[in-house]
Parts: sequence; C-alpha cells; structure tokens
Amino acid sequence: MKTRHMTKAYVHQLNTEFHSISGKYVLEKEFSMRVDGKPVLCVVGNAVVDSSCCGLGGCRYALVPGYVERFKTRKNDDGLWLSEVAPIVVPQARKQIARLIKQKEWVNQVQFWD
Amino acid sequence: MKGIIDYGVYLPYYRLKRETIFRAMGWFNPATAGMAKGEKTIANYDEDSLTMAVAAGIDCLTNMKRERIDALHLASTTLPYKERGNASIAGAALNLSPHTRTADFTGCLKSGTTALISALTALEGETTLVCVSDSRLGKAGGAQEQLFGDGGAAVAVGNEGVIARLMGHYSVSYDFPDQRRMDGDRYVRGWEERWIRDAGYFKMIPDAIQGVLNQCGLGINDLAKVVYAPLGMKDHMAMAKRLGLKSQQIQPALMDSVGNTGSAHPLLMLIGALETSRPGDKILAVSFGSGSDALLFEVTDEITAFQSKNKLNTNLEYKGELENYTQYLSFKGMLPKELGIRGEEVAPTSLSLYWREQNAVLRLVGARCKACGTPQFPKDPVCINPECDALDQMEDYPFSDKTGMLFTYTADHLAYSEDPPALYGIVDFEGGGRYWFDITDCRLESLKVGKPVQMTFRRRYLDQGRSVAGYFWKAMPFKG
Amino acid sequence: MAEGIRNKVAIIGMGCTRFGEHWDRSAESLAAEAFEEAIGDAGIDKKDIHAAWLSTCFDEGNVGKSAIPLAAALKLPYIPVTRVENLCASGTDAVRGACYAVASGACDVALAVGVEKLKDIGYGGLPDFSQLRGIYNRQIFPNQTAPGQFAMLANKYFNRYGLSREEGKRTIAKISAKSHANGAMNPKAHLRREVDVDTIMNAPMIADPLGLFDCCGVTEGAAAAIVVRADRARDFRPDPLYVKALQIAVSPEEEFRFQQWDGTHVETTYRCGQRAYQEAGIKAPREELSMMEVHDCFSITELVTYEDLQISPRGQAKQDIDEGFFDLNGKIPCQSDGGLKSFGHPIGASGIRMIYEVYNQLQGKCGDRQIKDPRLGLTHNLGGFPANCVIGMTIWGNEL
Repeated sequence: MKTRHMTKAYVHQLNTEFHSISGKYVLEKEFSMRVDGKPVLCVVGNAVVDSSCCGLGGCRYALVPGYVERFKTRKNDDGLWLSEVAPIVVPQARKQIARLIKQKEWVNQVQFWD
Repeated sequence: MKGIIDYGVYLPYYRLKRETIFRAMGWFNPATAGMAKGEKTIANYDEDSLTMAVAAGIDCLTNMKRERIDALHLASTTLPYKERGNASIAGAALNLSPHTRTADFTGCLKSGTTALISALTALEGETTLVCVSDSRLGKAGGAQEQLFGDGGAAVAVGNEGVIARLMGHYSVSYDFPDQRRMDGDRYVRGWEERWIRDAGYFKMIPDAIQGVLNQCGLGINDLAKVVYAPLGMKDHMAMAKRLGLKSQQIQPALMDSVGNTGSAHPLLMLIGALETSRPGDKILAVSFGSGSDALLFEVTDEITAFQSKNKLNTNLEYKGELENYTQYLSFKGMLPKELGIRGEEVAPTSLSLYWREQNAVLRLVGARCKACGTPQFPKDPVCINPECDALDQMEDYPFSDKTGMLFTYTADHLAYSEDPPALYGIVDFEGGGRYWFDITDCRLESLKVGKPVQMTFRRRYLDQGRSVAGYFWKAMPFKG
Repeated sequence: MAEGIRNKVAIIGMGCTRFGEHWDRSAESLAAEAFEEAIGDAGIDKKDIHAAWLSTCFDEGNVGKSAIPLAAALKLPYIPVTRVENLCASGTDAVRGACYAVASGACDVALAVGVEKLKDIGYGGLPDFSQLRGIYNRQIFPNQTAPGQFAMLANKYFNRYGLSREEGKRTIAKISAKSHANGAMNPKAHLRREVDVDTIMNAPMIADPLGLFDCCGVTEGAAAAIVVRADRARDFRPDPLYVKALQIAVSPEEEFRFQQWDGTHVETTYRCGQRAYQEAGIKAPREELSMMEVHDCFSITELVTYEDLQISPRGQAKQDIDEGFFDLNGKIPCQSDGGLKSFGHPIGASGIRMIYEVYNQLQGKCGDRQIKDPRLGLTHNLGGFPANCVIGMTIWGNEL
C-alpha cells in the first residue's frame, strides 16, 4: 500500500502556547494507545479563541498524528524530539479511534493528520 | 357521520435514556430506579408545544390539500402564550387561510380528545384539523421527569374520504385534582400516585368506556384495539386486566420509547392503532385528565391507502441520543448557564415588523416571478433572476412544503448555539429557489452536500424578558 | 464605459498607527495619530484640507454615529466631513469618496481616515454582527458567523477542484504562514510571529475546515490618506501614488437566493476586478501587477481572491501557492505587510491600511520586507460573506 510509505515527522512540543491573531492553543498531553495491535499517537490540547473577529470560543481537542512507526528516535534543530508517524486515513479506523479517545478524554474535536 | 380523514405524527429527534436521568439524579431519589428503563422523547432546544403541533399538522398535510381545512383546533396544556392566539400562530405556520376558524383547547390532559370531539361534532361538511402536543416538565429527580415525553399528533376530521368513522363518544368530567399548574408554574404538581391511580385512573377510564359502549350497544370484546392514556410505567397493563382486554386488543402505550406526551398521547396511540388496523375494526380511544373522553371509531376501507406511510414508525426511528443529562436540563431551561456578556444582550423583537413580514417569517411564503417563473425568498419587488429583472411581478409562493437539497453547509464552533456547533447551510429548493437556513435535528456527520432536506418550523429565540417567542423555519434532513 | 478615475488623483501623504489591542487609547487618539503622520508626510497643514471622510464599521462601543467624532477629534474647522460605513470595506469607500471629490474639482485636498475601536464592549470578538437587514435579520437570517460562511466556501472549493481536506488545509495553511512571515517584519503589525505550516495544521477547528490560524482577529487602529489632483501631486512630493482604479462592487444577493452561483468563488470580487482592470487599463494582471494586498479575513478568501482577480487560473491557485508566486520574493507578493492575519483588522481602517502598504512599497520605504522595484499595486477589501458582500478595490501606480 502507498500509505505504508507516507510517514510524517511529528514534533513533540508540549506546553508551548501557539498564538494566532484570533486566539491560541497549547498541547498538554501525549499518550499512545494500541488499536488493532498498532500504537496510535494521541495528543490532547486546549484552545482559546478570545480575539477572533467573529466570536468567543475555545475547546479541548485531540490530535491524532498517526500510527507510531518510530518513537522519538531523533531531534530537530531546536532540540525537540521527532517521531515518525503514519497518518490514519481509513475512515473506519478513524471512527474507532475517535470513539476510544472520547471514552478516555473529554474532548470536543478529534482531528487526524491525513 | 364524520370521521377521521387524515393524520400526522411528530416526535422530536432527541431521546433521553431513563438510565441517563437515573445516573444523574438517582443519588437523590433512588426510588426512581424501577422506572429507569427505555427512553423518552425530548423536544429540541428550538422546539415547544406550538412547533411540535405544527410539525404534526404538516405531517398530516402531506396527504391532503390545506385549502380543504375550515377550522384548526390546537390542544395542549403547555402552549407558549397565555394571551396571543397560539392556534393563530399555528394556523399561519401551517399556511392555512386567514379565514380558518381557530381555537385553543387547554387546561387538562383530555384537551386533545375534547378538541377532537368538538371537531367531529362540528357543522356537517366542515373539515377540521386537530393538532395536539405537549411538553410537560417534571422537577429534576422526580417520577414525572422519568414519565413525561414530548410530542405531537394531528388528526383531520371531515366527511369525505373517512378512514375511521365516529360511532359514538362519551365524556365524564370531574375536578379530580391529580395534577395541576397555575399561572407561572413551570413544573407539574401532583398528589400521591396510588390515590391518582386507584381513585381516578382506574375509575374514570372504565366509566367513560362503559358509557360509549352502552351508547353504541357494544361490548368490550367487539373492539379490535383499545387506546387509553398511560399513567405510571405499569398502570397501563394493570388497567388492561381490569378492563378484561385480550393482549391483541391493547394498543401499546409507547412508554418505553416516547413517554407520556400528555394531551397528545391518546391521539398518538390512536394513530398507532389506525396504522395497524383493518377495515371494519372498531377502535376505542380514551383520555384521562380532569375526567375522561372516550371516542369509538370504525375503520373504513380507505385506511389501506394511508398505512404504507408508517408515520408513527418513521418518527420512532428518526432519532438521536441526548447523552448528557445537563444538556437536557439546559434544553428545558432548567439550568442557568454562563452566556457571557454577549449572550446576555437580547435584541428586542419588532412586532410591527414581524406582522408586516409574517408571510415570510411564519408561513415561509416567498414569491414566484410571473415574468420568468423563478421562485425566490423572501419576496422582493425586483426579481432575483438577473436575466429577468422584472418589477412587481411577484405572486405568493410557499416554500414550507417544498423539499430541497443542501447546496453547502458548515458546523460553526463560534456562533452562539444552545446545541453547538451551530449547523447551517444553503438550501436549493426543488422547483427553484435558494436561501440559507439553520439546520436542526441531526448531527454534523449525517450531513453532506446534496442531502435532501425538509423545512421545519422552530423557535429561534425566547425573549422571556419581553414575552416574545421568535419563530422561523430551519432545514432538517428529509424524514419522509 | 465612463472615462474612470485613472490618473486623476494622487496620494501625497499617509499615516497608520500600530495595530493591536489599545486598551489605553481612544478611537479619537488613534485617528489623530494616523492623521498627524499623514499631514506630516504630505507636508501640509490642517487648514489646507477641504473635505474629509471617516470610515468606521461599528457604532456603539466605537466612536458612535455621524462624522462629528472625526471633526471633533481632529478639530477640523467646519469643513464637510462624511461618515462611511460599508462593512469591512468601509475604508476603501472613504478613500473613494475623497478621490471622487478631488477628481470632480469640488475640492483640491481631501482626507480619508479609517478607525476602529473595539475593546470597550466587555467581551472578546466583535459586537453582535446582525445588522444586515437591521432588526429583521434576527427573524430570517441563520445563526451564522463569518468563519462558517467562509468554511462553506472552502468545502465547496476543495470539493470542486478535487483537493482532499488535507491538501486543501495545507494549501491555505501556506497562505497563513506566508503572511505571518511577512508580518513578523512589520513593526506596526498586531501579531509579529512567524508560524510554520505544521503549527497551523495542528490547531483546532473553528468552522471545519478553517482552523484557528485561518481566521482573523479583533484589532484596533487607524489609518489616513491625503489626496490631491494628480497634476498637482508633484508640488507636494516627488513620489506620489497615482490612482489607476477605484471600484466598489456590491452583491445583489443572487448568490444565495438564485440557483446559479457555484459556491466556489466570490462573484462580487470577480465583477469588481473586471471593472478595476478595465479602469486601470490592465489587460494581463498576472504580468502587470507588482504586488497585492487582499482581504485575507480567512485563508480561503485569499486563495479564491487570487482566482477571482484572475492572477491564478480557476482551480489552480494551489500551484501558484506551492511555487511561492505570492511570497515576498515571488512574482506578485501578496500581504507584504502581514495582511489581516498578522497586521490585523481594525475594520474601518483596513482598506486604508492596505493602501498604506502599497504606498510605502511603491516609495521603497519598507526595509526588510521591501519588494523589488514595484510599480503597480492592488488592494482588495471585502465586507460581508462570500454569498453577499461589498468589495472595494484600488489600483495604484508610481507613474502617471
């Protein structure tokens, strides 16, 4: 399968605030869980939308970079750990993972890397 | 003699599992454990008894022409307005002629059957639409909270195309103060449940049944189906024993799937009975509340044309679970939430503007250009078609009964919503016309571009400080 | 077609405050600062100004209604002052008023000032934006916000041109990253931070597929421009900016009320662009323009604007974005000042702020973010939603 080779680098950077003009987000927690025998990397973040032109908001959300291929095997130029992940693209797998995350963590959104 | 010529059902989208209620409130009232089975219907945050009655009426009007209707009877104990004709609002939302006679029936749980009897005994030749709904509130943790469901039913009554002929009716009326609310009461107050059952329920329903059977010279065994209002979770079956009903004569009370929808419930069950009946069947429908009304019908050959629609089942099957008890409290206005300063700002409603634009707001009537035939909403003097551009060539054109397709849609996490994210989109109507609407009664995942939608009359906002409920139309997935 | 305004008017002075949250500044003080910079830049006195236009969008919590707040703030000596409100395109409309007045010969020197003060309302975000259709809005318009409306545009666009959600999101993320990189070099910008594409992609959704970095914010600030007849411009300064086009286009709402619009572009931008190019005598915008400042209220807006303005062919903006066509060192740099996402969006001032960047770039005053030898700059200012909006466009050149 083509997707086997589609690995991407995930930069581990917890507790850093990323600011946009409309708000900010911070990734607070990482964990991995086994789904169908494969480890899935999950990241939980909080966002505040307090200066968007169109309203006030915010959410707790999960980010799923993908199946872990290689965990923290190298660092980038900023000294941050990198992991190789394979994004989860199969809709059925996404559904299942989203459900498992929602059981474990209270999140409004679950976002997958493609 | 007159009879039922058409019917419609409306059950709201959301279901609340009774177990969810018990998990939230069982710590306080463990006695409700025995009730914590099945689920009940919950009106969405944008619904009230008026919109549900209209929805049932619209379901009824999918079969018959609204021009046939001479009178509209609206029955409920939970109508939004004390003063301001609820039936007049409903009549407009149903796009009935302003020359329709309208009446509100309210005050007790037999108001639905009373409205039906009034329609059946009205002038010969008149066609009446009876819309009934209720959404009663019990306090958190109580038995009523477990029992009450929300929903509506509609029955059209007339002389032509009768599917169930009225054979007789009989009523008893008592000041039996089992349940009560006064001006300003949000929650139903009751008396001891055993007393209500033994001194009221078990006496008045059999009395009314005996009355109508005597009148028609029939016995209980002559009936194919007996419809009577439920009380607690188990009283309906206990009553069947007392009445000596065989199991096939008992029309299911829908307590495990809907809950008690008050005034609407006997009609809802009656429709359930009609949908499974055969020509010649005799069906008895009995209400309970400050007495009892009993109506006896005989099903005609016309019924077969209606049954394919399976309206009750369609409504039972179209549902989504409300998973949070607090969300239920919020929908019911039982949970003061932090709305923020923005949320506290409630713009006033201009009632003169509303009156001027009532065709658009209440009826969802736009226009069709007589020059180019383009349907458009709302009605403007100049045609929206750039190739046409005709001035003052508009004739009224209703959109509420048109289906459409989602041209595009979104889920908006920033827009203020009682059920976020706010869903809205642009609808292309079959036959022409395009407009943008809020979308309700579905989850984001069920939407896609091109999805068939229908229009539904909803409460957009409730301005309690100024006593105004603002109604308009939303799109929802086509329910059938 | 009418002769148009091309080469009839020139800008001889401009001013712009730092954009941001100015908790300690009033609208009046922001307007005065932009004004002082503009007349200083033009080398004129207040008494030389014959007429003025004020653009603001919000009334309450801002300066209030009418043009009096500007006259009072600047102590303008009983001259004609007009307040312009045309949603987020108000600023461009104020400049248009000033230019038309000068072009008509009714006055020699005219002023346009745009200002927005938004942080006095007690909550984040803009005040309630239901003013379209006034109090009728609440009855018949959906409960919508701009992110949702532009999200619908994004979904339709991705769908039509076969971009997966990932490809689409990454493409518009590149637009945001580019603007943030430019804005980081702009000392007057609200948010001076570079942001990489992955950071943008990891942010949560505001209205799917638009995330936190795809949406603009709430910013306060003011900008001002002084215009004179083109033939007198060099009396004031050697490097004035000559107007080539000034166009406003307003949607008749066919888009969401007639089954013709395809939902993947902003028709009003396209129409406005057509007229602006014709007025400016531009036949091949992709070849002729040196720079653009477009209304990037959402990243997708910038993408479809590339196509609506016929810089990129329909459905092919992605290729240009991927190739860096709109980067600072690209063929047509777009948002060299950071745009709405980085410079910010004080609504009434934004249209004038865009012109301020073109002005400075064409005069070669932009330091680190200076575009090489620009000659023709375009601004595009959008107020409203894709399906019903006001578009204001201007094109400027440094030669007659």
